[in-house]
Amino acid sequence: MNHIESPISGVKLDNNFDDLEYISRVLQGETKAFEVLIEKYQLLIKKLAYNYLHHTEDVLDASQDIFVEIYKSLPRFDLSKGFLPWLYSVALNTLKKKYRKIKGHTLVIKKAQEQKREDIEKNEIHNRAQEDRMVVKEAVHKLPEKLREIIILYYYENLKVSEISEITGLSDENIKSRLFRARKKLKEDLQDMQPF
Amino acid sequence: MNCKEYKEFTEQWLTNGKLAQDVINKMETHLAACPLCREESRSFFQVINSFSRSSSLDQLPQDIMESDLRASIMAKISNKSIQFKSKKPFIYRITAVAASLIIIFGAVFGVITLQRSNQSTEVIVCFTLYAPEASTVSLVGDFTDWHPLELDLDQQGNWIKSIGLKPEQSYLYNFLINGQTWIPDPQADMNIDDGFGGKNSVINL
Repeated sequence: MNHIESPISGVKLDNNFDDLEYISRVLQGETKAFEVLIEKYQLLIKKLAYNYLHHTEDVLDASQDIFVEIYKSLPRFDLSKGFLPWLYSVALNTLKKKYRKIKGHTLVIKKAQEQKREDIEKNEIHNRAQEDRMVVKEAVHKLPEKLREIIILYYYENLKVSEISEITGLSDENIKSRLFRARKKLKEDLQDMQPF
Repeated sequence: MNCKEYKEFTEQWLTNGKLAQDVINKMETHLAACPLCREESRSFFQVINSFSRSSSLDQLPQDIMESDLRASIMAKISNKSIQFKSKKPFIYRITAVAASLIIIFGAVFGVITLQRSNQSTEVIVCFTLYAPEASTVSLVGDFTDWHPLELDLDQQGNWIKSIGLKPEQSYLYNFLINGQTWIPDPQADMNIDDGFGGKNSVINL
């Protein structure tokens, strides 16, 4: 598999001196410096939230919540460690809380997908690949949370196992095992579906 | 590619989660020509195919992509008046102490000594961490609004701070070593996940 770059080109989990400088400035009371971090990471956060929630309104809402949480938690960030893994882990925890709060999320997902289908039909674009992705997405959303989270980080966020380990605190072996279980479950779940 | 090879590749993907793009292309060609495999695993192939092109797996809708969150987040932050650095010293009230009860937890690293005052309106808690090589040790907890409160070093290498806390409550805290490393109290009676991959120590008064 080609390792495709994150939405922000060139973003790696290594620390970036600019980030540390802005974090330090925020911590010293210069709130305005946080705006730079939002600008830099909002696309990444929105994409993560979108993959997790899949509903336009919730995505923007959740992304804002994530940044507020990041801001509130900044004093707890260990400057000697990587900022991006920490950012991901705060984001995931916020999303998990948010996701749990949404009642009937399956319905929300379905609605979003129906809307998407309508859009496609409306534009008279028959995009098989996109339709496939929606089917897969729906199956991913039905996975248990422990498996879904890892699948999203690995396949949707294009993170390496070692990077996921840094974010989640799980061992590489545990992550690999979850990935395997998730793939197997996706296979089983999708085999029951009517092929189209 | 024949049916046997096709199946082998799906098994391979199940095991290691990756396949070269040219293999996937060949699988797709096979699937288009083979009704049997299509019947069996068309849907599963969608997963393999989608996951191999994950950059386009889920393009953000344009409205999400284009919305700039800076203004709304900055407004939320200022509304909440979150402050990282308190200029005020940490204030704590210690009422008259009648050392009626002393509880000592552990002795190796972290030691917490509780002295209940006879007025029972406040509990004086002495937080202690044995860390002779540390340059600074601070106490950070929900009772300090997560602002670091520096401990004092004694000659034996124990960092100590006594503070008064309201009884009948639970408090979360960590030690901050050299202003950088967060550690839970090694001698706390309970540590819980802090939701961010670390641990918080819990003290129940």
